[in-house]
Amino acid sequence: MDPIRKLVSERLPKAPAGPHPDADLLAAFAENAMPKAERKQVLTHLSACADCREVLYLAFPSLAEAQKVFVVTPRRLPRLVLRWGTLAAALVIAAVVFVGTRRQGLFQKEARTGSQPPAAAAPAVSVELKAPAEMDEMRSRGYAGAAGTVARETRADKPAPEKHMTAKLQAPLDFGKSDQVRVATSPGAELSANMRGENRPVEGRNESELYSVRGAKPAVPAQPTTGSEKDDKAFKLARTEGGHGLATGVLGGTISDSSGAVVPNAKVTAVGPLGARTESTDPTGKFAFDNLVPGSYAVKAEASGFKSTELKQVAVLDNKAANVQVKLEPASTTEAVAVAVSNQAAGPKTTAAAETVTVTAAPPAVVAQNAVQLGEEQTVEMTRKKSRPARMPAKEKAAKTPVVLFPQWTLSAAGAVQRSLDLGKTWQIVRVGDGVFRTLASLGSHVWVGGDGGVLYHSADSGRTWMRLTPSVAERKLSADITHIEFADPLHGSINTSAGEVWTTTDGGQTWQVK
Amino acid sequence: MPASTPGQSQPAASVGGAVLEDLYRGSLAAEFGFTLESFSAMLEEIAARHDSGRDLREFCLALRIEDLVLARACAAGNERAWETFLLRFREKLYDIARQITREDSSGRELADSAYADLYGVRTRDGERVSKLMFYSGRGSLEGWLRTVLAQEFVNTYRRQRRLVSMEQESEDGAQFATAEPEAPVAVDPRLADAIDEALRTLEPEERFILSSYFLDGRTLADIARALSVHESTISRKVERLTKQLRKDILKNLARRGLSRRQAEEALAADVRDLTLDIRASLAQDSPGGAFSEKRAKAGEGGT
Repeated sequence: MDPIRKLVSERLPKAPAGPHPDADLLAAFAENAMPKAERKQVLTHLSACADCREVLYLAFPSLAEAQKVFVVTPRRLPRLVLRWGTLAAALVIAAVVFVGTRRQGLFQKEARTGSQPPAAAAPAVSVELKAPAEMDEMRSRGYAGAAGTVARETRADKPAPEKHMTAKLQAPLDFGKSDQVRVATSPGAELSANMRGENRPVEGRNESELYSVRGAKPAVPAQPTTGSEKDDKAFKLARTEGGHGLATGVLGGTISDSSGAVVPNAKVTAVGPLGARTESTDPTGKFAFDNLVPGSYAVKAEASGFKSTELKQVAVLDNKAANVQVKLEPASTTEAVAVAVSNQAAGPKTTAAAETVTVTAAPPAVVAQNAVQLGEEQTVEMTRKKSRPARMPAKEKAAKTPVVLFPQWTLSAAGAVQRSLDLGKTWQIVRVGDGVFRTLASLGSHVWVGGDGGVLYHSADSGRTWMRLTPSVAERKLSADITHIEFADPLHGSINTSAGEVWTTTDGGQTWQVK
Repeated sequence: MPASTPGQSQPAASVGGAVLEDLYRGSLAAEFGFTLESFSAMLEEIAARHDSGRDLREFCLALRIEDLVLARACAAGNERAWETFLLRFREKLYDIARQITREDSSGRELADSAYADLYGVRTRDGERVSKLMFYSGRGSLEGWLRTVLAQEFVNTYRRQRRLVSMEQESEDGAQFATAEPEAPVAVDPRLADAIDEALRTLEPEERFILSSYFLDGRTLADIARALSVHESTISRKVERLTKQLRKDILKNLARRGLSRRQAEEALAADVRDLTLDIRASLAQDSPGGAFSEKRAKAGEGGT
């Protein structure tokens, strides 16, 4: 070890002079938003005060630290079970093939005249498509109990055999511990995007390619829940369209009373990042807000004779319709379901229904907090059920928590943007545009990267497409190096520059203010 | 610190009526129940609190007015402000707390206690006191929240550590623990002086980097983030600083009457380092060239 280091460590001042800087000053310091002289004062204190340094480093961790997500590792089936399971599945398939060929050979006539197609024509498929009843029959006939599940699993493996991720994510993730829901692009779609041309610059990719990636998504409706079929129609208009620019979402739903009858003419207010909007329900009890910026909304329903009911944290996604069912209870006394902070503190409760929540105006604690999903991400749950009928029985859905994961992001030492789809095990370089990137911020599917010379890119879809932002104020373009990016939501963000300026936006980067 | 404008308690008029009004309109102040008067009073109070000696107008323009208004409105109990605050920061607070504690349940605990403080569970003279009152818009509200959480964590952690150590002490029967023995300082007081002097000439930022890197064991990336510069800059700086310190200390030692060799030896505190150093310096000093020259000369003389 360097002796200098040892000696210097011993002599470095360890007793801070003067009072500790308050949180305000430390924050301003970390955000590079204070004049030089004051900054020097804070630095003088920090250089001698281990506690304040600790606070600073805890509060403003480096990118790699901040990206560490608290994801509880999925409970995996023991390897032994998988191995035996695969073997069992292989045996089942072999048996079916064998029996099929035999039947075809021995009872050809019967096979021709019979209404059933010969099993040998597609032995593997026939195993997979067996209806649950047939599966039960198989089990009762003495096939390995695991055969059903394993057959399904091996099938699920097939779309992307070269990556193990698919299989891993399909294991049930335990969110009981973390309560944190991460939304992720469906591994299948994401991987195909990867294979199709991840390493080509975005400009090089044509639309059809991008859409073909989208097409790879399972044909599951945007709302994984039991929204009535009729409701879907109302949102169809806003559902499609996946182009560039700021995407908008739709928030709609039905207001009904406790008996289930719709409530026409109820006043519905949606409070979101850009303020509040009010609509009334139509004669069928439906309401819809279109052209909403994606984000988290609070929906309040009021009607005469009913308690007003509020639904917090309704996620409105890009190009998707959020469907809300609100049940109003008759008003005995006017009781606002404003969730008190003490209840808020109980933390987010993920519900199985990611976007549709039914709420009664019962005690505040009952208000279901739904997971905020951004972007066109799907639950892993859905990808597993890809080839099954799109609508699952409601019971099954309610029992499962959607497991959703965002990609993770980091920057290489050389300033390239890297993305990980497997919780940081492997990283791929994502070509964003020209420039050396120094800092990035991610928020759900939104990613911003900034770097030397004021280059700033934004992606709203986990890095599939990128858009360059050129912050400018009154003809003056941002040209200093970007040292830090922070976004509270897709619209409100700030950038710190090496020139010590702070650029802020409240509209997703269309207009900027500089300080 | 520039002492250009000594009077910090100037009336808000010096901010400039137009500017003040701009700021007022630009934020959601009116919506959150501020009047122009209460708004300007708030700015004045903050400017007074941060006796920055800067031009008041400049100071106010540099504030995060929007965040500030939100925080103050929340502190005052404005319902809409709370709604907005929760919408923006609720999830984030939990995320940050989890990041700080690196553990889910204690992260939750930390965030919950922070919420209680922010909401103002404690009362003073019958009035709810919200911690948000202390935010003054110098940095972003999120940055402030991060710092508050980190401070809370460091404080709690330290309390717990103290409790544990007391318990341990009584268990060990060492109730009158002697003060921790002074770390063995470099033997030669002249060396200590020389190092101190070299450190004093450094910029605060350079001392900060050294403390973070040497004492706290922070990574280059961490330090870069804290100073808003690129990692490679810090890496270069650390390298340059170590070299420069070595040179400065040697120079200071020489001024204190040590010979070059003595100074080098004093610096190489570790015996192993010393031998290495000597070997290195021998290798450097051993004048291979000179020797061969001599030989060459001898050869010349011979022929």
